[in-house]
Amino acid sequence: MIHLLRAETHRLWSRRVTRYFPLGMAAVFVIGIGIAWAVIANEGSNVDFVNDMAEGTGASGILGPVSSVIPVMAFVIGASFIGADAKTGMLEQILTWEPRRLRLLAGRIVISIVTAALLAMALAVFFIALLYGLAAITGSVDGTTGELWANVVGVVLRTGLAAGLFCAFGLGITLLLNNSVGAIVGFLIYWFVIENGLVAVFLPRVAAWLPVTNAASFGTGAPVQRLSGSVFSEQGPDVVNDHNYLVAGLVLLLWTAAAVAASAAFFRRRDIA
Amino acid sequence: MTAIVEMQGLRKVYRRRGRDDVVAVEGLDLDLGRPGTVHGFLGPNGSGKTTTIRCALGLIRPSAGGVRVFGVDSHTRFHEVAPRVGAIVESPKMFPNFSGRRNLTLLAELGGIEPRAVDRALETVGLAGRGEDNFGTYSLGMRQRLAIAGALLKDPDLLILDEPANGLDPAGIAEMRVLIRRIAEEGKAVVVSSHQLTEVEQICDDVTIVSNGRLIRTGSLAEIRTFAGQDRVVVTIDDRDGAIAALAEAGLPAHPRPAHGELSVDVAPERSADVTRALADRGRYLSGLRFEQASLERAFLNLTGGSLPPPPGEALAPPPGGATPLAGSGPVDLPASVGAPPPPAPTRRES
Repeated sequence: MIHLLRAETHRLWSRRVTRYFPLGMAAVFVIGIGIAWAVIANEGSNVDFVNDMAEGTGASGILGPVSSVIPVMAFVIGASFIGADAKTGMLEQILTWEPRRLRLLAGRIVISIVTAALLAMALAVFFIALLYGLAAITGSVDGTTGELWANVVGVVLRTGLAAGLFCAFGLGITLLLNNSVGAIVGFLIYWFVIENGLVAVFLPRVAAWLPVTNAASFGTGAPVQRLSGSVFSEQGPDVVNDHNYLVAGLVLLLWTAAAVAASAAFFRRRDIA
Repeated sequence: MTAIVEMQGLRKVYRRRGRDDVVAVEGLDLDLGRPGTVHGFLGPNGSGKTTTIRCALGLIRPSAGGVRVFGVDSHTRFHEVAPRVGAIVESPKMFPNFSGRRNLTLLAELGGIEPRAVDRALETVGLAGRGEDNFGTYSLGMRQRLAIAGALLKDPDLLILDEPANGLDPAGIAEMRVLIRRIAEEGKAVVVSSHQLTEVEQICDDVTIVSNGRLIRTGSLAEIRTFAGQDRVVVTIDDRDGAIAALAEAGLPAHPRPAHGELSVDVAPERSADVTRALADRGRYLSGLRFEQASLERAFLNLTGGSLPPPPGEALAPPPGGATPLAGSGPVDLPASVGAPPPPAPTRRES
C-alpha cells in the first residue's frame, strides 16, 4: 500500500491544477487584500481585526466566504485527478500494475483528502495572515485573545477537513460521470444555480441539507441558515438557523461517503475499455 | 508445455443502450503464450483481439467463461500475477505533459520497482537520450517504445503487446522485431496482437487467428502456413489465355489472376525453368515472373475470408498440399494487390 500511496501522491502533485490552482487562489487573496488596503487608505478608515474581520470570537466573519470557495478548489482537484486518467487512458496502464480497483480507489481518496486538506489549511492560514497584516497596518489587532486564536485554528482545521471531503466528493462524482469537465461544470452550475439558487429559494428546508451549504457552515463554524417563509410574501422570507456546524460536518461526511460508495461500486464493475 | 494464458468459453457482449448488443468475443477456448516463444494473436479489425486481451488483464468483465493467467482467474485474482505480466493495450497511454522518464518513474513507484530499472528500460528501447522529453512530443514510434519500456519495467514473465508496430517506420518496425525476439530469447512469453502479418510471420513461433470473436485456427506457424496452399509461380504475359493453354499442354496447371496479364502456376519455385521453357517452346514469351510463397498472410486470408469458423468439434484439416478455404470464403487465388510484400532479401521470395 505504501508504494501505491507514494505513487498516487506524486501523480496528484504532478498535476498542474494541484499546484497552480492554490497558487492562483493565493494570488486572488493578495489582490483582494491589496484592493481592500487601497480602499481603506483612500477612505482613511481603520480596520479592527477582531471586530471587523473575525466578528468577535466567532472567527466566522470574513473567513466565511473563503471557507466556501476553498472546497470548490478541492472539488476541482479531485475531479481533475480522475479526469486525467480518463483523458489519457492511463487508468488502463495503472490497472495492469495495481488491478485491485478498490485498493487503488482507496489510495486515491486518502491522498486526495490529505492533499486537499493541507492545501486548504495553508490557504486559510495565508488568508488570515493577510487579514491580520492589513489590520495591523491600517487599524488595530487589539483584543486578539487566546480564545479568538483557538477559534481561528478551529476554522482552519475545519476548512481543511471540509476541503478534503469535498475533494473526495469531486473524485467520486467524476468517477461516476467518467468526465472531469462535465463534473466540474456540472458542479458549478449545481452550486450557483441549483443549491444556492432554486433550491435555496423554493425548497429552503431541503437546501439546508445540501453539500456546499453544509461544507461552508462546517468550515466557518456558523450554523446552517435557510430561508423561512414565502419569497413572494410582502415582508419576504426570514433567515433562520437550521442546524449547527457539527451536524453540518456530519451531513458533509454523509454526502461524501455516498458519492465515494457509489463511485466505488461503479468503478469495481466498470469495463475499462 | 502449459500455456500461460488459458481461456475457456470466453464470451464478451457489449451492451449498448438503444442499440443492438455487440458480441465481441464468442466462446473462445484458447491457450496463449509459452515461455521463450512469441505467439501471434491475429485477426481482422474488430475481430475481438483487444477485447480478449483486456479480459486477460482483468480490465473488462467477461460475460461468460473466463481467462486464467499463470493459473489464476484474471477477473478476480489478477493482482496475484500482475507483477509477472507486462502489457500494452491498443495504444501507448501515458501522461503527455510528463517526460518519458517521469511516466516510467510513476509506474515504477506503483510497482515498488527501484528507480534504476527506469534507466535500464529506457536503454533497452533506445530512448535513453530522450527520456527527459515530454511524452506529448514523442513520435508514435517513440511512444510505442516507451510503452514497451513501461511494460518491461516489471521484468515480466509474460509480455502482451497489442499492435506494437502501429505507427512505426520501417526502421522502427525492424527494431521492434529484434526487441521482441530478444525478449523471447530471454525465456519470456510474448503475445503479440497484430494485423501486420508479414511482421508477425518473421517473429512468431505460434499463431492464433480469430475472426468475428471466434477462434479460427491456432497452432505453430508452420501448421498455420499449411492453410496458405502451396508456393506458386506468378507469370506476367500479354496473351494470358494462350499461355494458360500452352502451360496446360506441358502439364503445368495455371489460373488467371485478377491483375491484368497475370496468371499463377501451381508449381514450386524450383520449377520456374519448366514454366519459362514450356512457354518459350510454344512461342510465348513472358514479361515478368515472380514467386509467391505460401505465406501466413495467404493462410490468414484463406482462413478469415468472410467465413465463420467450423462448428465445435468439426476440425478443419488442411488437405495435403492445398489451401482449404472455409465455406463462403474468398478464392484461394488472391488478388496481387492484397498485402504488402516482405522486405527484399536475397534468400526470400516475393509474395
